[in-house]
Amino acid sequence: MILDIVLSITLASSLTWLLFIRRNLLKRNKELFENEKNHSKLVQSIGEGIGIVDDNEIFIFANKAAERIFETEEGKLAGKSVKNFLNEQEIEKIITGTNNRKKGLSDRYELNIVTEKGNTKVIEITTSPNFDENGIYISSYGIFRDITDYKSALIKLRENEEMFRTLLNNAPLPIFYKNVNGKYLGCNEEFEVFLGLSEAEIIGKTVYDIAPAGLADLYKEKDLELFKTGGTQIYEWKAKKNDGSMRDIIYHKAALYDYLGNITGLIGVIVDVTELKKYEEILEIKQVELERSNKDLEQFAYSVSHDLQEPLRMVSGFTDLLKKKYSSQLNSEALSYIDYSVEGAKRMQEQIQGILAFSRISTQAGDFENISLNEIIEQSLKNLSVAVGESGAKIKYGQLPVVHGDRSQLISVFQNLIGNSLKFRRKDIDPEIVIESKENQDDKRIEISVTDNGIGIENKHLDNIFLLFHRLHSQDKYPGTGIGLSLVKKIIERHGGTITAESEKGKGTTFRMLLNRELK
Amino acid sequence: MIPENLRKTIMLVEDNKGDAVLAKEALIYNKSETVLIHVFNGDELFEYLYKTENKKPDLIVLDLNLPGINGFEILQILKKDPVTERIPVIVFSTSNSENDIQKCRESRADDYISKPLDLMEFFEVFKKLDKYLN
Repeated sequence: MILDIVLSITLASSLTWLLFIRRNLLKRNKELFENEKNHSKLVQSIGEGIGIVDDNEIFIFANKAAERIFETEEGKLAGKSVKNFLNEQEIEKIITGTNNRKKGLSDRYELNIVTEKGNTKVIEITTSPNFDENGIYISSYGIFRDITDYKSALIKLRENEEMFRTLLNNAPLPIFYKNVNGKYLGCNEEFEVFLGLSEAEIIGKTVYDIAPAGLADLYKEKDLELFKTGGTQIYEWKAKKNDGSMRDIIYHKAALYDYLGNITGLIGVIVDVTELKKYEEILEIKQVELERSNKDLEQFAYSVSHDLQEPLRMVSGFTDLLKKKYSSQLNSEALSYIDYSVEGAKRMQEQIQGILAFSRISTQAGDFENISLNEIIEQSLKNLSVAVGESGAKIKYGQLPVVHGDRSQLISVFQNLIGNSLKFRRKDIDPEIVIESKENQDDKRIEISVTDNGIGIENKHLDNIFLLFHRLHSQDKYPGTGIGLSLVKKIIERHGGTITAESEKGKGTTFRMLLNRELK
Repeated sequence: MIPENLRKTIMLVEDNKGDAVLAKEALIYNKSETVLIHVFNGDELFEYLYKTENKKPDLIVLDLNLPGINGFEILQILKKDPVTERIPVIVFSTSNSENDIQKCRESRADDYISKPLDLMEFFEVFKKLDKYLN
């Protein structure tokens, strides 16, 4: 009984013990299990790819990050050979790596892979070998990092650097760059040539080492100013070239910044304008000479025309007086001779007046103002009222724009053009003149056309009609001086415009002008 | 017939003898009783004007392009001198430039007439001068 009791106590306590042991065992197993689960979680959640590869380069384990790098489906990287993702050249690389690891060496290298989805990537692998208890190599641990973006950024950077160098050395101007302490960091070949020093000799130096102090003071002052203001800087100063000559320079400088926006130095370009300045001076002298010569010529034309009128008046006046006072003593032939000379003198005066008007376009020019073209045309028609009335011409124009020009000269333009249309009208048809404006692509100017239904001009003559004294008809048919259209052209050109003519013989002529729009 | 000493006088300042002849012819043609006194230049004009025994002209017809003192200068002297400033001065020139006309206006010329080429127009000019004489 007691034994029974003892036995049962023993059994009970053993059972309790066993139960205790089991509970403890279960707890430990659970802890172990939890631990393993935690490790696995940890490995899976690491951002970098982790994998284990056996001695045949087949993945026996891969975390999610590794799967993302190789772009396989979840859980599908394990079982695949690394070689599946590599080309021949890269396979060589991993064989060498494995051989190294078999000797117990850890390794880090870059691999170009083609992912399962066919994308090319660059990865960095850090590997270490794993041996069994007998020291036989069984697998390798690997950490994979996708460095594709980093690599392409690096390549881009190198390309940019290369481009910068190419640009620098192919630029036809001397270029240098320096830090905020004024020390040269580099330059191009042109700068080396300019100073007669190599880049190596220039780097680390300041302007005081390479330029006379008198010049360097301003360089430094300007550099400090740029470091303060940032942005760009342009100024003119001098520089001493390797041959000792003093050059006129325009400096173009720009501040250099780091990625935080702090000024780290500057880059400068030297534009040697010595020759340019010399040419500019020559050009300026020539320009003044040309202007003076033009003025002289206009003054000459003006004086000549003016002085020619005086003797002309004598010829005309006294032949007329001769006729008036002594006609009873002269026969009809003598009287007709007098008529010819008076007529000739009159024509000559018209021509002189024309030259005078022509030379006055520049010498006695008025100021430019905004004027309505309608006003200009109305004044021109008023001046031509007799001719318009006699010809019975219809002159059609609507609301025309306001232009910017010299009032009296523009009146002269339209008076000449309309006057020509009236003069060169067809006998069989009522003259009709249409004045229109048309928008032009040029936003500063507007096209104005004057079209008639007159006798027209043969195409071969169109190029010559604007030449001074050029006439297409005989005096007795269409009297004139041959100055009108040259005058028109010169006025239009003084206004910064152009004039062209289109015509069909027997049908009519159109003159097209570009005139400046009103100034707002 | 107006007696000689009561007739109006026009002083013509003109270096071109031909123009002076035409002017005389114009007065004859216009049947004018005005006396024409012709001087060739500024010096002769002022010599005449400042001789006290000479009667002052009623009108001065002045050419611009003159040897020595030019027409503009003569005009300015005439219009500044209290002795002569009231005498009407008509500028009579070959030039019809706006510039010249403007300059004469500024110097107080009473009129500006371009010398016409046509003889009849030339005669007409002298007829129109009558309005300054009455």
